[in-house]
Amino acid sequence: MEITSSLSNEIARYLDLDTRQIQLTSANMANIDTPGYRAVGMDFEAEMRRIMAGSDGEGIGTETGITPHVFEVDGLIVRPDGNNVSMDRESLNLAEAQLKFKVGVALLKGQYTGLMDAIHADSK
Amino acid sequence: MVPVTLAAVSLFGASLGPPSAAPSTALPTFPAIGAEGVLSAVGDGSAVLAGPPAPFADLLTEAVGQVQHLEQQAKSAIEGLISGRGVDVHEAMIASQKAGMGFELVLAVRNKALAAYQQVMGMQF
Amino acid sequence: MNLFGMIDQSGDAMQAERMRAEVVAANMANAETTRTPAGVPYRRQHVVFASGSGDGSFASQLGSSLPAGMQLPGPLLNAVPGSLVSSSNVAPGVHIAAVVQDTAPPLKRFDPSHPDADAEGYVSYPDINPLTEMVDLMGATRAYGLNASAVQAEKSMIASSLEIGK
Repeated sequence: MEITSSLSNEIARYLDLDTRQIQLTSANMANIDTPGYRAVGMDFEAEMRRIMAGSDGEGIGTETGITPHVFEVDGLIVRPDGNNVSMDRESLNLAEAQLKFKVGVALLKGQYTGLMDAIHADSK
Repeated sequence: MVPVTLAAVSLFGASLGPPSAAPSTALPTFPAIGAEGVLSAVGDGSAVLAGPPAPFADLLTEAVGQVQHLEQQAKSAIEGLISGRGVDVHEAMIASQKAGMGFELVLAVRNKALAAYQQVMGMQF
Repeated sequence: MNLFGMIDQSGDAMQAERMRAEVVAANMANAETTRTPAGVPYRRQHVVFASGSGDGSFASQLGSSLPAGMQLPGPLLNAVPGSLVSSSNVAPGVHIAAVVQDTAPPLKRFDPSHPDADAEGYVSYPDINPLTEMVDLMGATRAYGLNASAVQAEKSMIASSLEIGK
């Protein structure tokens, strides 16, 4: 039974992708003092567009999960010990990812509330 | 539930304005039922029935269509937001809230109409 | 993609930074130590970070990398090794691979009246520059704060995902 719309599935994928982004950012932060470590990242918007174009309301419980393309970030200054993680960039990414997560949760809640209201229409 | 009773009162009593033919971002409007169909004065002093009142089924269908349009707008705003196409967070929130409120309004009207119908059917004469 | 695994990873990093700060504290405390239980002057220590989860217990690695009889301040002696396993295959956590000693020769100052003076009257002091140690400490503090804010972010994400059902 298809109880959720394709839009709420897309929002769920958005939350998945955002979790992945936070994971990458916190991995970078953890390795800020490791010699020779290069910062990793992903292109959030491109991945989200790929997901929205590719899927047509597939179920949330897919086993494959999200596998975005993760690459080493260019354009960062490399310090003498070989590490190129920038504290400011990672802090900004962390704050942005947190806010995106809150937005996604609020949108998903709105979708589910509307559906529940329709189900409980007669008891109002 | 003040907004609901207001909606019900305005439906069965006063006129809310001309029926909107084109879809808009405003909440669904319900054209007046029967207010124009009762009496209208003409120049020679006699009262003429102005025309048939709008059937109720059409009103509800039109309102549902407007809500569907609002939902479509909300969906495209949300998709624009999550795919990073430049839609602001507040735009998407406002659009989805409008769709929700429009839906609740139509739902409340439907409930009231159903209750009124059952009340009428229960009359014994 | 486990949020709790990410907290483990940030916790690893915070632990590593804390160890680094404690090694700096040991250096600053022993800046004038001319005689250790081993009989030689204190040698400056520094930590080596490596990504990946550490194998074996940290305390045993720390103990084996120091020469016999080296003095350690209390907190390092009682350090509980982290047994956290990272769950990410992109960039696993970080750990301290080793605590190494500086190979620089000690500073010699002329002071024949000092009990530890050698045959020519020179006393060997450890070559510890307080400015270097302070900068190291500041770096460790900032990195600790950064990873603490990452833990806060992960916590708030888990909390807001609970609100979906409310």
